[in-house]
Amino acid sequence: MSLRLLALADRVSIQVKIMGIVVGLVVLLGLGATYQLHAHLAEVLGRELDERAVSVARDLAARSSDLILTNNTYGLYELARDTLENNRDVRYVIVLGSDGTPLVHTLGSAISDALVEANAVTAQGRSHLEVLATEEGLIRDVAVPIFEGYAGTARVGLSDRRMVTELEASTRQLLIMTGVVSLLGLAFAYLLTIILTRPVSELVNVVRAVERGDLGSRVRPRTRDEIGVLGQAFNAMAESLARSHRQGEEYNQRLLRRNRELAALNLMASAVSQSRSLHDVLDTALDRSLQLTALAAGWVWLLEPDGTSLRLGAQLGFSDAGLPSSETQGRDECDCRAVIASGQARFVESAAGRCALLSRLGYYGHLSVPLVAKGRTLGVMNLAAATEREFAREELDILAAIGSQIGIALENARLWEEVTRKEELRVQLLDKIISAQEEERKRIARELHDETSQALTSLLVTLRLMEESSDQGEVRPRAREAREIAARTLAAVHGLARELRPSALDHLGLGPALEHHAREYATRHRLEIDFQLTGMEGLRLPPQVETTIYRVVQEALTNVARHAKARRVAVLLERRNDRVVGIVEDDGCGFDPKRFEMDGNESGLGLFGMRERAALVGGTLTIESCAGVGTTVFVEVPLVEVTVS
Amino acid sequence: MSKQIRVLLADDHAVLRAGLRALLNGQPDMEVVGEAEDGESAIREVTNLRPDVALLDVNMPHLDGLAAIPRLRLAAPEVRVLVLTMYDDEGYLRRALENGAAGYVLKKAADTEVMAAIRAVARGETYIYPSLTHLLVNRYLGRPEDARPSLSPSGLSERELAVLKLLAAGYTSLQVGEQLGLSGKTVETYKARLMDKLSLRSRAELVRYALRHGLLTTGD
Repeated sequence: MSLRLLALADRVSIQVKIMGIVVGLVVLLGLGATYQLHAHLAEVLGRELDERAVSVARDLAARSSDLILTNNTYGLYELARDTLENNRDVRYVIVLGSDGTPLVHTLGSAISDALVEANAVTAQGRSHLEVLATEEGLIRDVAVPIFEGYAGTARVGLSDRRMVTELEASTRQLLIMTGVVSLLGLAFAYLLTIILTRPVSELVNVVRAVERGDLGSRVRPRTRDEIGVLGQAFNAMAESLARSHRQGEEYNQRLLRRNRELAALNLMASAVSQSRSLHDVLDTALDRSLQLTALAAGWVWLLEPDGTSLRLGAQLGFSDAGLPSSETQGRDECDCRAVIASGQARFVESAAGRCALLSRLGYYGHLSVPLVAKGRTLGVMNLAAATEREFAREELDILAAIGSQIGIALENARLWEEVTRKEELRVQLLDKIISAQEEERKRIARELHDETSQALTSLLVTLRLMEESSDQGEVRPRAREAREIAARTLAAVHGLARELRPSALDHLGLGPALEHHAREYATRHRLEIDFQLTGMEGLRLPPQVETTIYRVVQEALTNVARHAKARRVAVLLERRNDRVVGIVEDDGCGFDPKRFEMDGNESGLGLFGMRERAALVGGTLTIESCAGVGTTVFVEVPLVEVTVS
Repeated sequence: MSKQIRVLLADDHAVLRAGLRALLNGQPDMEVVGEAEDGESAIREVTNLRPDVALLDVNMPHLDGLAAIPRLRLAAPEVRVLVLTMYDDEGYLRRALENGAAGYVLKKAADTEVMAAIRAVARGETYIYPSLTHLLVNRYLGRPEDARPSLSPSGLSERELAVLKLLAAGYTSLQVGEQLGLSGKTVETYKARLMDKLSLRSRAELVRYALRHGLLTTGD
């Protein structure tokens, strides 16, 4: 029951509760007061009625004693009637004789014995009050002895009807009053609750608005009571909610942007890894970068191998007329070059005359992003902006990342090209080696056939002549002739053998073999040679290392003789820690090794062959040359095993 | 008539041995006492026969002539070793003499000078093929450029000295530049300047200069 009441109280609004409290209080108070007053009045009026009954009865007794003694019945009757008439509450008056019989009474015709015996004076002769319940209600019946009982008893019956009526009237008034006050209280409570609940409903409205997503709604601070405090607290909460919402929004935005950037980078990376065409990579990169920055046009300059001129790698968003072309590429004043030099992205304003191309097309300027790989700038990506534009840190970062990706793609393309070229060169080299080998065999065969065989034949003939000669004087000159032929042949064969493979390389090692070769070479080509061995005393290297260095130096010397127009050549062989370096330095005309080797002509192929040969034993070939200064060729080989004989 | 010179022939070519044997036996003062066809058997024969002169070819199987000389000298110190070879390189000559050979003669003179060489070493002299002697003389006199007065390295700046040391150690200009934090071009400039200061004409002279002034450690 009480639970249901509580549940009911939970359901109704505060307004109803407060009004209920007020009305309940007023009604309870009114009813309480009415009951109290009613009880009190009933008691007071009852007591007064009692006293009046006694007083009327005494008065009656006093006045009736003479009349009884004088036996004046009429007077007595008059007295009774007078008493009845003068007191409105008196219902009846009975005067009983000393024997208990009624002398007079005001009850009309007859009097019931029951009434006569209903009350009597006490045994001590004192007056007695008896409340009788009759058809007319409660009757207060007072019996008073007349002349101390000797003359009889005077009895008066007083009805409480008037008292009851008055009591009821005043109670009714009180109840009406209570009702009126209740109404007043209700009105007051209503006002009160309006004052109380208005901020609350306002708060509720704001809460609902916030709930709907209107984070800007705030409670107007009106009161300083608990509700006001609650409002302020709510405002603070809404504020922090809005802030965190804003932050969340911001994070969201950043996340989205990051996601976009990563997607772009991912696309770039897959474009770089999947597409072997540089063209595709550049187009994808440019397209993505323009999408990321919400710009419409851009182009890519690629740095040519010469390190100065620029080549258009890709372009997007330009009309045919406005296409960046070779016309604009070589201009030194364009700030793209500064970007390439510094490797740092920057915005180039065309207004300042820094970019003639964009200035002509009416663009505000362009962002130049360097394309970097392994610390070298290989080109620049330009994103044209029609109006002034700020670039966020993140944007620049992602563009730099894209720039690096393109750089990697460029580097890959370059490496691919280099590998292809090397492969081509290798095939050429192999071809050359095979044909050179065949040429060499042909030459040796010819040498053996034309020279050695011929000499031996003539020797045979001479010896035959000697054999058949009988003249001693004829034999001697023939024998001398034969010896001369044999000596010449010996020298020729010896030379041939050494050309094929210097035996000193096997018997004495690299140093002496090179020295011998250098001296012979100097004599043959009439060059001044300066030979220097350092740190090679008694050092024998693995045969393939010795052969490699020997052959590379030999070829370098041959090149000097063929091309350098040198006067002096220095040949050095040095051991430095665990490496051996062979150096051929001339004071000739010099050349550009880089360009030379790339051409892939006969001599370039020769250099390539030397380089490959050095690489076979883990070594490197370095050529330093400058037009007019001369050329230095270094062949450097690491020593894995060293044997000292 | 004096005592005959007893000769041992060590060469892997039988034809040559036969020719030489005929030639030498034809000489009144010589006698071929034995032959060997490689380094090992040459040592054996020399130990057994104790000839006056061992005529030794360089190019032989198993143990080549140059390597055999020290062991021959150890086995029979009194035997004179004469190297007969195809090779006219200074390196061979030097190795042969260092190893204890008494003479060095070329095969292309096998028919003429061998006899004179055998007689010379048998007398206790040293015989060297005439066209090779200039090599020894050159070495003895030293190279002409080394005789020029050399300037002290104190005239060089610290940078030039560093460049000199590294160039002498066989580094390329680019490598020198990397070690000193200079560009290759700058190193070239330093090189030209210091070579000019020291009157050096080539890298080889530069290395020798560095060696002479203790500026080069060969890294052993």
